[in-house]
Amino acid sequence: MNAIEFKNVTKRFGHVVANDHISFGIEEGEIHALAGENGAGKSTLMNMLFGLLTPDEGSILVREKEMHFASPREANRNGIGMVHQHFMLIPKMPVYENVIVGVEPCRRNLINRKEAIDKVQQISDQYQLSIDCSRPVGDLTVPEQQRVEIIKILYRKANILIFDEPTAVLGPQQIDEFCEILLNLKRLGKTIIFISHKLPEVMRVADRVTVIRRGKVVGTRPIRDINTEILTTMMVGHKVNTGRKPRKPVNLGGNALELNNLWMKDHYGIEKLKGLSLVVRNGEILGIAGVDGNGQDELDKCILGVYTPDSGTICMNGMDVTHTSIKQRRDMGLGYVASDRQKESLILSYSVADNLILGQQRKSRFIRDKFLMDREAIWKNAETIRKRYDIRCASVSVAARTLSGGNQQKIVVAREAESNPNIYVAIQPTRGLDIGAADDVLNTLMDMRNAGKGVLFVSMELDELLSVSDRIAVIFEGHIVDIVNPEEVSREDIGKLMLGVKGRI
Amino acid sequence: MAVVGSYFTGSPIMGILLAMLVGILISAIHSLLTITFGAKQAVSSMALVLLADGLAGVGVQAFFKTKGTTPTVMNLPGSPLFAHIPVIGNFMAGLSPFVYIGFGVLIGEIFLFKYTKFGFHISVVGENPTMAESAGLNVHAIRWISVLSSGMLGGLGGAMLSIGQMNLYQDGMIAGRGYLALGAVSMGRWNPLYVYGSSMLFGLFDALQLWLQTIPSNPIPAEFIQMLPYVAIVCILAISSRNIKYFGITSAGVPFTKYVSER
Repeated sequence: MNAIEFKNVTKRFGHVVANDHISFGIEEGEIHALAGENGAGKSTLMNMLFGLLTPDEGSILVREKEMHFASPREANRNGIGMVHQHFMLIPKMPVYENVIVGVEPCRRNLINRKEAIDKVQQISDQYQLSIDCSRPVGDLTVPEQQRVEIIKILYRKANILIFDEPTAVLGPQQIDEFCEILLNLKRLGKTIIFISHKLPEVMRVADRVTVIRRGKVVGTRPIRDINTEILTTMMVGHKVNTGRKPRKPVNLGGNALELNNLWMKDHYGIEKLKGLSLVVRNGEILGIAGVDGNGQDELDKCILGVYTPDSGTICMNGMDVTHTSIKQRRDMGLGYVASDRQKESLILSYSVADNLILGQQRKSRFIRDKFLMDREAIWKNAETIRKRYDIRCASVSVAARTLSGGNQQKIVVAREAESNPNIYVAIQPTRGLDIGAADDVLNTLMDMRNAGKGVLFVSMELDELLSVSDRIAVIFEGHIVDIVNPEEVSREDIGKLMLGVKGRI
Repeated sequence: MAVVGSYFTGSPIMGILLAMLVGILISAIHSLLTITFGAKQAVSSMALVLLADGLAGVGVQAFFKTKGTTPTVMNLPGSPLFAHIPVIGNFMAGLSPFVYIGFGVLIGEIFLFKYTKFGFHISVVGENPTMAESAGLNVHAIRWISVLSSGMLGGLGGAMLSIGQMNLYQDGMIAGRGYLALGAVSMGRWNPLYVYGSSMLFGLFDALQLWLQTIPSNPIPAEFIQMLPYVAIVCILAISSRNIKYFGITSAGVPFTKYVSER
């Protein structure tokens, strides 16, 4: 029997069709993955199932009965629970209080705390979630908080559990633990819908997978019948070139960027950079590999000019810029893609066109009559870039907020590339992007390299670094432990260096 | 309004009730603007403070045909109810009934937030309205009730000044005590008992200030002495606000609109 069945479900937002006649079923007791790129329509579909949105057409059947949920509460009452990507918890309240909101065990409107604690703790124990339910949620780690969310829906007696990109907030080790929890829930008879665009975990825990692309169902397949490659093709529509991208031979020119013996303490007096030196030549991509928190943040902020190192020098194109301002460095040709696009690179309420000139508003080509913004030039600039970089938006005058994460990142990457820099610094530019968008971003890096610019590329994804870098520098505890040739090393070798297992391999 | 009530009915109790009613009405405007229409709290409250201040001044003229000060009315200086209690009876009877009402409100609040479902819902709505909504609580209704009750208590507080401590209303007699309440709440970290303690502390400084003024041939000008409670608040707040985990109520004063899909 199908626990859930979607029949021709369609949802439109204005002219955009988010879900286009979606039909598929989810069997009782299975882990069903819902895969697709960002903006493919997965969340929209789940929000309709959960009563947050109403379908324009079609019907949703829960245990073979047609249902129209007007609110999440109604969905809850019918045994459907959802763990959102952003947790809905109150840090200062203890776990059990967070769990019981709205369904408090009561005697005459007085909360029975003892019963509440017992009930919640029992759920935690029964599903082996190991949460101490009288601790404040704010004291728990992220994976623990996620488990509190799971307890919340189990407490509401949900049999069908929806997880919206649950692993986006987890590290590799934590993902393993999370997969165990999912399998355990399944063993105890729950039906699980698992939204994700990370293939390894889908392959690992799901029984079946439904792929959605641009609002349409591409297909539903049992996991044992497919592999990662088939799944990737289903998701992005064309076979992705996972190998190396075209790399033109370029005359390695002078040094675009030189860092000499940088030392820096943070606010707490801890040495974050300890004699870091590296060189980025023109016409190469220098990848920086390393475990997060080993000085990457300080390194990139020193290059941009947010921080000044305590000692050491920074040279761009042979000129000492150690004590110059951010603006001076940008004027000298520094392109910079920050790690947090929404906070550091975009103004979400501004239009796409305006975001595409941020930081370049003083340039003469966007100015007319000495001090007025040239709207027409800005609009033309935006249209050109939109076409060249395939930024998908209704028009360049819509707010950047309305775009998907991948397209937001394309705005930043394109803007910095089009400012005609000599040095292009990109900090985790593919974080949170789906395969297609990540590919576009990496191709832009490659284009910059092929045009003879120096590219510094910081990433947490080894596969990416290996596929695009000319050289990979491994950072550990504030200095570069080794620089390796990606064609000559294995992932394991780099992994060892990242963890500080010293010396040349 | 307490003075008006007491003046026309001859009963201070009616005065208090009228003050509370008007408090509710004014806070209803605040609720409508901030909760229902999502206006900024700071803007709405500033407007209402000015409005209430002006209304009081105009009201004095309209009701009593005098400027700035009302005639004296029946007030509630003591609590004769307690006079028969042995030993401490005289002391207890000498205190304003508002002292006991204050105690009652404190106990009621502690009980509300600690034991009742509704009190729990109020905290949740203040901390994370989105979560409350998804758990099926009616966020707007709960916030309306909360604001109306605070308006009612505000009216009670005002009545305390005019027919508790004094027996008339005078322009400027409130002297920003409502803002002191903000300080007391913040210092008391949103916990009824601590807030009560903070208020007592400010009360102590106020009493100290009054006492200092009575010292004959005091070299310090009265204006400086009157600053004392306010200066004390600033200092205490500056010190007490440091190093606090989970300070304040996360979503207090933040308008809440129902889930709208962002696409």
